[in-house]
Amino acid sequence: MMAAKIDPRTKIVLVLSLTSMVLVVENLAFVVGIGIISIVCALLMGVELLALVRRYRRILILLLTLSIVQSVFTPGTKVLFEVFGIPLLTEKGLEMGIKTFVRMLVILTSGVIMSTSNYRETIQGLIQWKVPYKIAFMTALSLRFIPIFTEEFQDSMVALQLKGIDFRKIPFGKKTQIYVYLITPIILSSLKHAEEIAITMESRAFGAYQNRVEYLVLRLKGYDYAVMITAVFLSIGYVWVAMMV
Amino acid sequence: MESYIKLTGISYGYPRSRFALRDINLSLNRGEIVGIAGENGSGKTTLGKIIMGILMPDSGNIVIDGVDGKNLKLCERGSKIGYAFQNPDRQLFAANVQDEIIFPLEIKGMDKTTALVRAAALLERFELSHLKERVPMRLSRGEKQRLVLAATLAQEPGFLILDEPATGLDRDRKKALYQLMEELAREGIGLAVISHDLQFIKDHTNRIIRLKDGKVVDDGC
Repeated sequence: MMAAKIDPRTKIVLVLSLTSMVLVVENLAFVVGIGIISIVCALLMGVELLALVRRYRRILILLLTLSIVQSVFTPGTKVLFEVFGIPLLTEKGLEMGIKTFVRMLVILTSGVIMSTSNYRETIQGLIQWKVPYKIAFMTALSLRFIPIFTEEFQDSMVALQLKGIDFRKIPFGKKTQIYVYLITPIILSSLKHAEEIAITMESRAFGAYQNRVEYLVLRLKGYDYAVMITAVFLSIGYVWVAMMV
Repeated sequence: MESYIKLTGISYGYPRSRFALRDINLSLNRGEIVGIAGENGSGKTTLGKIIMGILMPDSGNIVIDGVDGKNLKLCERGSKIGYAFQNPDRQLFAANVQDEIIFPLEIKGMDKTTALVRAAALLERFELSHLKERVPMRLSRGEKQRLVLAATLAQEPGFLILDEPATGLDRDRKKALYQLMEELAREGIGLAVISHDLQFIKDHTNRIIRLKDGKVVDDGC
């Protein structure tokens, strides 16, 4: 499939175009448009939408909640919903809420688009763009740790529940205590992981030589250039039209 | 005697993988020590996780202490069945050894004095009293395993699943573990020991369930 062969650098340009557009554009319809474009791009990159929604269900609920809070606390002149004369939702608030949701969704989708490339190729792409190897390697390594931490967090949640703790029945004060218990082993294990990786890298003489030779060399193809140029020009055009409307 | 845990027609497959468990029918009782043996990838740990509710079966039914497993939340199963993970680090949360036993009890509403008394008895039993102020993560593997067992038993479960409990233990500690298993069985707690060490299972359990490719190939003494 073509999407699988797209160079990670092309995906970086695409993702930068999408996130820049969504942060610059203020017009609601255009912001929603960028949201739709980012989802279409993710689909074209081979991301399965249903699996994605299932995987990020909790984050999406969190985003939605944040957007609702944003809507409620943004004052405006045109009231859409009020209780006992107290305005709860204004037109401006609703617009801000939707924009916040779409902006965060685009950032999330961008991450998903980048995750369709394997991390080794992404590092190589960055190196070929003259990003110092150590920085590129650290960036990629930190990205690789995200699913590990997610898994460890889920395991800790399960282990706590197996101690007979029902999260829903705990009073708020004790909930904060529970989160301390949850975070402690994750921090400790991440320190342990970091130490192990540092020892492994030292033992493999990481950074011992100034010049590195590359086994994997990425080459941009015609369609990579086409996608990059289209993404940059379309995003400039899109922002220009959005500002003119 | 009614089984404490009854599995009927349990099947489970990991996503994009072959079946990990196929049509498992088992009855596990209180007071017995059952060994669940099999080679790597035979489905032993998956079976333990299915019983605990960490994984949900694709088909089949589990009844625990007379209650349909579908009606039991993870925390409720955790109060009925204790589970000691293969890696004890995953089950240690607190800042010190004593707190590891006390905090779930306090969160569930037990007063501190009672919790401290229960913790002191368990620490004594597992020879951890002298380590009660230590950070759990800094203990040796054997000490961590004993602490996990102590913390699990503090919940007073009717059944205990131990996933590879003998890993990393020297001969004396293995012997102590076996003695503890016998004591618990005498107290009426059921035990399922998951291990690929068939010799340990043969020597220390009353009943051996052998798994191969996700199926029970042998269930006997």
